Amino acid sequence: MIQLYNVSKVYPAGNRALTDINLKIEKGDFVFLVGASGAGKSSFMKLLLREELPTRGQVFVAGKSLIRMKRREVPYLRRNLGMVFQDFRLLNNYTVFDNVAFALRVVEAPTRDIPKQVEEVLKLVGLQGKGQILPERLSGGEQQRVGIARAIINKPMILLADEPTGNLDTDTSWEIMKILTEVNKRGTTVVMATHAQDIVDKMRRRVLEIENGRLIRDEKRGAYIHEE
Amino acid sequence: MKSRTFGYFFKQAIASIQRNGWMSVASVITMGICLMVLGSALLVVLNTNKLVTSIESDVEIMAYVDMGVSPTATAELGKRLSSLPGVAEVVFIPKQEALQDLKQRFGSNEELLGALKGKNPLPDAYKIKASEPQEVILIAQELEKWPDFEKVRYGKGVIEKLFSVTRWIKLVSVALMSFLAITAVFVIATTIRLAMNARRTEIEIMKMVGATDWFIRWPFLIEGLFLGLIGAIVAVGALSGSYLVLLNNLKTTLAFVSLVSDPQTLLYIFGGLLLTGLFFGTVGTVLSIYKFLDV
Repeated sequence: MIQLYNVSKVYPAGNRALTDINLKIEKGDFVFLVGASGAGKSSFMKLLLREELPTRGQVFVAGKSLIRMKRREVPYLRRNLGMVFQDFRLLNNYTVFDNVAFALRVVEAPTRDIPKQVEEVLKLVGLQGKGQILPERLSGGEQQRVGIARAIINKPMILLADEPTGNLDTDTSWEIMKILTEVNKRGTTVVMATHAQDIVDKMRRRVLEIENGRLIRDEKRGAYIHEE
Repeated sequence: MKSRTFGYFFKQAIASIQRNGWMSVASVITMGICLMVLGSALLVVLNTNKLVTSIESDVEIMAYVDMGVSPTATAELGKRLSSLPGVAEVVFIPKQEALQDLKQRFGSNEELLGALKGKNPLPDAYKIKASEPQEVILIAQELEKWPDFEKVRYGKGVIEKLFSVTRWIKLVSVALMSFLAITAVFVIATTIRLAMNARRTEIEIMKMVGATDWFIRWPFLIEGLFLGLIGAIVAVGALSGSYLVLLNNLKTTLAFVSLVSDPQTLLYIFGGLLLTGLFFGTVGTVLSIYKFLDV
């Protein structure tokens, strides 16, 4: 699903963000991406979204080379990548329903299918009946559910989550993790960058650790910190 | 593109125009003023051209035959004149007729006529009308080269003055227009940039969930087109309204001044103004899209 070969990223200013990364993420994997702030997690995510191109190496996402991809093909790549953010990034002047439907509208999905699809997804994230509320009247956990609903409504093959529980308390974080696990069970590959040690330690999923731009650990059932 | 998508773009554009209320108003006004100046200048130039044409068509050339030319040679001159290209009518005025004319004009002033002592000092003359007003100057210049004519006269001064007036009007309005056009485009570009700024989170999310570049651009293009079009409608409304009032007033008070009033010409002018408004709106928007919308 995701393959990186000898990938390095050096920004024009000269700072090295990623150095010689090789990895493969299979379809249906659930992967934690850990490492200190500034270690290169964001750069990694940006490469997958093709917001940035690597300086060297090859990146394949969903079978396509991002290096050879033409600019006008990028939107179609992104339709296969759901994105969830720490700060939710909802449109506060839109209702919950419209925030989710937005993702369908901008990819020109058939209008008459939109209400049904949105209802289904809202139900999946536990927000049934809250479609007509404005996001700012929801709790943080609920707002993040809206964010997830928006990310998965186009049925992406991969869900990229950038510290999705970063702004949430422990209990709420676990609720979000339950939803992400459910999404993963339905076949979506999940890549989650996180600093939440307890979550990584308890879930025991694949862990990729990045330090100073290098991939220093790739464990099948890892913990947040490397165990001897 | 799908039609429902277009409806969506339309709604987005309208919402954006409302959200940027004052900037939208400012761009409509600037566009309106710019197009009003353009339209007025066009109308003034057209009307001056019409005036010049009507004066020119009244202008005749008087060519005076040299005293030393024999009557047969004079008659020959008449034939040569008639065969000149651009000549519509040639009238021969023999010197007797000219003298008769003079006598009538001076009437009782016997003294003056007495001084002639029965001689006729006037030359034979030809009155020439041109088929096209522009030909007048050309024909006159040609006749001046003929040795058999002592003098060639036509309404030189008037025509040339009018032409220089229209030239100035054209120059000044082109300069003013260019300045105003740049302003109008700039104001539209700024309005659209503000609209993009107001929607930057939305644009970011659109990119993230896989909207195509054109899907993101279209609402702004429609907004720019709209602002240009509304400005043009304001300009055309004001201009055509006041021009019609002017036409009506002149018809009753100064009936001999005839302004350009045929519907087709006016339609071209006002239609052209609408298209120009659309064009400026598009240019402003495209500038902002390429400069500020990184899609």
